[in-house]
Amino acid sequence: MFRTLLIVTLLSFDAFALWRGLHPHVSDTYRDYYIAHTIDLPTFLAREKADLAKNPAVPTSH
Amino acid sequence: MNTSPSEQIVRRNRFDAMKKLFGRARRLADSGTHGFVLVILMVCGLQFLLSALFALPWGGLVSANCRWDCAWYEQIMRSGYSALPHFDPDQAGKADWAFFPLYPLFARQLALLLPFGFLTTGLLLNLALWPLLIFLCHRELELRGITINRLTFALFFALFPLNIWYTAQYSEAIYGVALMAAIIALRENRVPLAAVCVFLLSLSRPTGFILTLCLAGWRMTASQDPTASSRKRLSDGLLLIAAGGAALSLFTLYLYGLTGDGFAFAHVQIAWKRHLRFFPLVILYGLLTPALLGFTLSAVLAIVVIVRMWKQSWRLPAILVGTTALLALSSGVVSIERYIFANPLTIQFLACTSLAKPVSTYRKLFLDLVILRIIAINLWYAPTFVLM
Repeated sequence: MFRTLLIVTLLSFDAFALWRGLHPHVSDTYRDYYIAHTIDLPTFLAREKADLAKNPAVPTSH
Repeated sequence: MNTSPSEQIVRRNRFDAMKKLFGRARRLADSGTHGFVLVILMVCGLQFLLSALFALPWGGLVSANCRWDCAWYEQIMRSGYSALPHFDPDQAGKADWAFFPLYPLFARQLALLLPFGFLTTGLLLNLALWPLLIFLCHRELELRGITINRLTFALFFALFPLNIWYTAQYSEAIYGVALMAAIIALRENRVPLAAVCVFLLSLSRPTGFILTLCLAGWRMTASQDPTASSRKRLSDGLLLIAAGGAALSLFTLYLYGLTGDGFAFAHVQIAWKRHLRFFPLVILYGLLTPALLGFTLSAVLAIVVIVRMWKQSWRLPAILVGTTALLALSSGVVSIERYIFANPLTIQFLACTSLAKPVSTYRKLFLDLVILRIIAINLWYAPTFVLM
């Protein structure tokens, strides 16, 4: 009984983490370079630096 | 070349002294667990001295061994994971998210207790885990009913040229110990202990959870306990998957909080130009690219070894090493020599096949190993693009 409860709890936790992983909360620049691979590294760096210059207090990858 | 009778006598005496020394060490190793542990420690001590000798021109063992990924581990040990990737030209786009937390965080906690720096503590941790791994590899063979001489087995492991990552600041040692401990626990039907081991395995390297799935599948289909019902086997398998998954989930949720991307450890691989491709194409590309030729030849050799494992009925090791090779080769050939030939299961297999040959071949075998090990140490310390 304890083992079944443990397995169910852990699998629920795993499912929650998987759901979080599948729904990233990132900037467009991050998504385009790291996830979709639609921009190259120089474009990523240029856009990140531009974003950072606009709002230096906020990390641009978020 | 002719030698004088007096020289011949000196050589003969030296040979007899060596023979006597090996005889004593062999008897000590065979005397029981304590004796074997003592012999492993002595053999590892000799290996350590050899490495230390060649590290002298490179500023000593700690700095000489800190190559390539060591800098990432040091960064995590020193200041934890960073929220942003690097923007400097050398490391542009790269981030420490690719490196799983068990090794650097364990070393970091140890460094708080010991009077050493992070790099020294990381090295000491691996130096302590390496003899344990040799012991576990031998224990696993015993459980499979494979008899192998303890002294020569320990010597083979210590002199094997591609074990250099076990005495460097890398996560190989902690990963290897978790993997072998999980296999042993499953062979002994200690499933809760195996669940703890796969938790640690999944927290140590990206391939850890995939290997957990393989171990769970093996448990469910080829249980060591013939009396276990299919329901019990299913429960065992699910416990392993849930435990390994929990470790990966912890890291995923941590990265989600840090970067907004739970799978940042996989996504960041693109900064190393690693992305999913059909592995024969990766090998073909490597064969046509001179800079990647060394790694590609290692990849081809790795496939040969895995096929030989399978043919010699080393089914579980073949599946585990084969899965590791498939995952690694699906994104690139770089570092394949580390992923496959530094895997404890591969070293274990190569030790068994090499030491199954007549004893008369051992002298040449160990001499070759010593020479190759010296070459490997120097290639690592240099550092070169051959070993990464």
